[in-house]
Amino acid sequence: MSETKNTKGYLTGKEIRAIAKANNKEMKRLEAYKNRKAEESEFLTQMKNPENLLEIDDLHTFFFTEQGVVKAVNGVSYDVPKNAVVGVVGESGCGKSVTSMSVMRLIQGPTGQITEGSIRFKAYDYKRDEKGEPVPVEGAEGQFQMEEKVYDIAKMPINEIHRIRGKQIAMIFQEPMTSLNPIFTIGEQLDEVTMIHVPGATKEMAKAKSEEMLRLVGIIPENVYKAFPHELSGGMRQRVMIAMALAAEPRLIIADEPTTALDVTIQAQILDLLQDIKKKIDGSILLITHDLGVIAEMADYVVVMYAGKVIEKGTVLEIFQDPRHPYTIGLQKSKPTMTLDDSTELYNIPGNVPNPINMPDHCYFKERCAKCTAKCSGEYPGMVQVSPTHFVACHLYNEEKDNG
Amino acid sequence: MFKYIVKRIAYSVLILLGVSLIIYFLIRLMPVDFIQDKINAINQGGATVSEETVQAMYEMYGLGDNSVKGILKGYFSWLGALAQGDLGTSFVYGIPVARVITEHMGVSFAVSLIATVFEFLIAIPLGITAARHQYSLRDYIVTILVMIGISLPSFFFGQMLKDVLALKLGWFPPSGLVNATASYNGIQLLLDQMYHMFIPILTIVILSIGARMRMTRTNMLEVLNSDYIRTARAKGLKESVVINKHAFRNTLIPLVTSLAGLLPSLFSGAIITEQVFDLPGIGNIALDAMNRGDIPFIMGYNMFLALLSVLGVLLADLMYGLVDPRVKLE
Repeated sequence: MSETKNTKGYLTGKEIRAIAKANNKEMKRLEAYKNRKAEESEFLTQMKNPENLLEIDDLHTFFFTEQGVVKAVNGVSYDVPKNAVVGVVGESGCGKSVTSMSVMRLIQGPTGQITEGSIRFKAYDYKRDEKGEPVPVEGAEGQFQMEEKVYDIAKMPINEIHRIRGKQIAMIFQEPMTSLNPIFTIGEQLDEVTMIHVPGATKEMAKAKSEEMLRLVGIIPENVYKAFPHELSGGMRQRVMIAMALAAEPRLIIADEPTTALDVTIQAQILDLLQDIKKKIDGSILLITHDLGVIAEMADYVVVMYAGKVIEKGTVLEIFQDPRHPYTIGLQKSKPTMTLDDSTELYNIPGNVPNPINMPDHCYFKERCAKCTAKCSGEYPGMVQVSPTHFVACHLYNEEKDNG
Repeated sequence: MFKYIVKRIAYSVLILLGVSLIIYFLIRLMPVDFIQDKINAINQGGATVSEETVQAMYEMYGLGDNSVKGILKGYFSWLGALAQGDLGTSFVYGIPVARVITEHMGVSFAVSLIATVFEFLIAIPLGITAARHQYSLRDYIVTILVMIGISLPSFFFGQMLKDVLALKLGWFPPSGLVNATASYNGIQLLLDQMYHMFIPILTIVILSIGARMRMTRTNMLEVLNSDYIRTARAKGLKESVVINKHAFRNTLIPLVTSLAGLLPSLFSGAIITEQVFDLPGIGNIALDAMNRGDIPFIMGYNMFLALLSVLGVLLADLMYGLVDPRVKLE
C-alpha cells in the first residue's frame, strides 16, 4: 500500500502503479491461501472461553482497491456467548457488515481478503469417518453421531467452508427483495437447505421441514411453497429468508440489518418474530444494525464499532446506562425522543468519518471528539476494562486507571 | 396465451405490409435498371434494339411508369400476386422466386446453423470462466483472443484461412460446395459438402464468438454479484452448484431470448463469407440480385427475412415467458 502522504489530492500514475503492484502481490498470496487444500487439523483449534460460541479475535479484513488498501475491519475482537443476542452497532461503513461477512467467508475476492486474525467457532457437526461420510448411530435409522469441534473459520480453505455456511451459521440479509433467486420457487429454495445439510435427506423430508419452518415464521405453507419470490411482499420475503436460515438448525444466526429495507410496521413484525425465534432455537443471534432502539429491545450484549474498530463493548445495560466512549455518548444523545421539544434541534456528532484509506495513527475519533486531550494525538488507544464485561477504547479511561 | 399470440400475429401482418411498401419504393428508386443492362448487353452483341421494343420491355416487366402512381400500381400488383401465394418470377433466373430461394437456402442454412451451434457451445463456457475469474490472466487471455476475432474483417480472415488451410496445407478444398470431378450421392455427397463447408464455418464461428462471449461474461458478472447468489453461497451450497444451478439459469434468460432473435440470420446467408468461398448460398445470390435489379427476387428475399424477423421477435417474447417466471404474457 502507498504510504506516501499525498498533498496534491490525487494519485500520480507512479503511485497508482505502485499500489497496483503491491496489491496484486498481496491478493495473489491471500487467494492462494484461500484456495489451498488443507488437512482438517490445520483449522481445528480451541476456544479461549468454553462458554462462547464465536470468538472473533484481532480480525483484519482489507479491500485492496486501486486507490489503496481500505482497512474495513482493522483488529476487531468480540465474542458471542452461547444462547445470547449480541448487537453490533455503528454507522454505515464502520465495518460491522464486513465483520459478519468475514465470519461467513462471503467477502468477495480477490479484492476483499481476511488478512489477519482468527474467527473461532464451536461447531456441532456430524461425526465423519475417514472418507468424510457421516457415521450413523447404530440401531437408529437415519440418525448420525454428532460431535463438537472448534473451527478457525479464518484459516479454513474456501472449499471446506460449506461445513459452516447454512448448517452452523446462517445469515439473514438486509435486502429481502433481491436476496431470493427469482427463477426458483420458495419451496425449491427452502428444500435445498435440508437437501444439502441433512445426510440422506429425501424430497419429502425436505418439503416437510420447509413447511414446518414456514409455519414457524408465521406463513401458511400452502400459499407460499409453490410461489415465486416476486409474488411475495418484502415482509413475506424476509420471513422466507428467516425460515431458510432456520431450516438447518444453525447454532448461530447472523442477522445483517434484517429490518432496514422494510417499512415500520413490517419492521416491528420481523423483530417480534426474531424475539420469538430467539426463545425457540438453541443458539445465538448476532444482530447487526444501526438502529439503537432495535438493539435495546433485542440484545444482551452490545458492540459499538467505529471506522473498522471496536470502540466499546459491554452488556446492553452498561452501554445504554453508562456509555463511556465519547462516540457512544454522542450516539445516545443523537437519538430522537418522544419528549423532545419541536424547537430544539436534534444533536449530531460534528465532523465526518476519516477517509478509510490512509487512516491516521491516533484515535480515529479525535477530530470529532469534544473531550479530546493531548494524549489523543498519541498512538491508538488500547482496550480499557471498566467492569468485568465492559470495555472501552479511549484515553480518558486509561488515565483514570493510571491515577488509581 | 392463445389470445396473445393471435394479437401479435395480427400486428405482424400490419408490420409486414409497411415493410413491403418501404422496400418496394426503395428498390424502385435504386439506380440500377435491369432492362437497361439487358439492352446494353444486346447492343454490345452488335444488334440494335428499337425504342419501341425497349418501351415494350419496360411495360412487360411492369417498370414503365416511374411516377409515385406508377410505383404504387406496381406495388399493388406485386401484393395482389402475393395474396395468391405467388412471389413472382425472378428477372435474372427466369424461374419462380420461391424456387430460387428454396434451392439456395439449404447451403446457407446449414452453414449458419452449424456455425451458431458451435458459437454458443464455445462462447458460453468461455464467457463463464472469464466472469468467474474476472480480471485474472485467464479473463484477459480469453478477452484478447475474442476481441481479435471480432476485429478481423471476414473477407480478410476468410481469405487467410483459405490460404493457409486450403492452399498451403491442402487439408481442405478452397471453394465450392462439392468436388466438381466426383459424382456421388447420398451420404458421400453429404460428407463432401461438410468437408467443403469446414473453412467457411470456422471463419464465421471465430468471428462471431466474441460478441456472444462478451454478452455471456457481462450477464454472468451481473448475476454473480447479485444478492441471491450471496444467499445461495450462505446456504452452504458448493461453488459448482452456485454457478451451474443458481447463476447459470439466470444467465441463460437473455441468452435464450437472443437465440430466438437469431432466426432471420440463420436464413439470410453470410454474404461476404459465401463470396470468399464461392458457396452457392442465398447471401451470394441476394447480393448478385441486388446489383442487377432483380426486383421480384429482392422483394421475395427481403420479405422472407422480414417475416422471420417478426416471428423471431414473437418467439423471443414467448421464450421469455417460458424461462423467466416473472414475465407473464397476456
